[in-house]
Amino acid sequence: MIKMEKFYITPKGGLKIRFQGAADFGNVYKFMKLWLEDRGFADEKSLETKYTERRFGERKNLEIHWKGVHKISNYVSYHIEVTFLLLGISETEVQIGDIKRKLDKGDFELKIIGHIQYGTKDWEQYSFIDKIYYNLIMRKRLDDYKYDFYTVLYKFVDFIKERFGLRG
Amino acid sequence: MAIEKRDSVSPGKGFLILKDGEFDIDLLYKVIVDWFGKRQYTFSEVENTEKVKPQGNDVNLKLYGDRKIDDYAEYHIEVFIIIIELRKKGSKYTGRMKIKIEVYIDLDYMGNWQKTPFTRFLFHVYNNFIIKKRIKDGYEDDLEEDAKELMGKIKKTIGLHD
Repeated sequence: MIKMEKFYITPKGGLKIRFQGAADFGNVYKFMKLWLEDRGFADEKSLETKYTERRFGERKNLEIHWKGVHKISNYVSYHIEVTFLLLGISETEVQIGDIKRKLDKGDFELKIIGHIQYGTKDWEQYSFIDKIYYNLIMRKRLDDYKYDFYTVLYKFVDFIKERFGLRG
Repeated sequence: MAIEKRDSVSPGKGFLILKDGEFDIDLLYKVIVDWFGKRQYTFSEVENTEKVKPQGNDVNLKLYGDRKIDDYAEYHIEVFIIIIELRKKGSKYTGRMKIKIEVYIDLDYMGNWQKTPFTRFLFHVYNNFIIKKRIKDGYEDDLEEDAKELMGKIKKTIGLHD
């Protein structure tokens, strides 16, 4: 019997984006959230599973975890996991052109994992016809889904890199 | 030497390319990504790190590509780019760059032969006696050709002799 299956689009350890320097993290955080919301991976309530802030003096460490799901059909869903690890973050003022801006300075690390889930937990509840449809038709579309999600995921990665001013 | 599951085509520490001076890192990145696409490798940017420093930024990129050849073999090319003291100079950059390219074949990438010690033994016999010629003359030569082509592109892009 076919069970629920996971197909990783990224390496299992995820894609790592790291930046040491000054960035407007508040904006990055907000725009990343909006990006995922706009593409159906999250709503106001469902994205963030963890937000931890630890302060020590003027600096702080942040640990944030997001789990976004975009349901394609009863059988297929795209999953994005984002882990933020921000170390030694402090506020700094940076002169950009004529304007002085307050930015966050420190070590920003993001890990992004993407996978496609085939089948759902209540597979046993599917009817016989559903199971045949799943095995004969849906599985053949797997490559199309992989390609589609890969494109979406790398647009998200490019979007993050652009926000941090990273190359590539 | 016996053929293992990870059959390395590059030397132990990978193929190395070093460059001190002027280069265009943005173009280099594009050339590598385009090459992976053109040769039908699935591209992953596993790491993109940049540290802003007064003497010039440190950049660390890990770019991976893999391609399934058949149900048994999968090619892997991993490009590690480390740059220190990267500074912008006009439209180009200067810095010290080290590129390491690791190339290997993942045999039995679906793991069908890895389930018990006995099947692992059969896997060893199969690779080293039955399809040895196919691995050495087919997969390895083919992948080495890919790796050399990519290295040539990289060297040309950063202004080295190919």
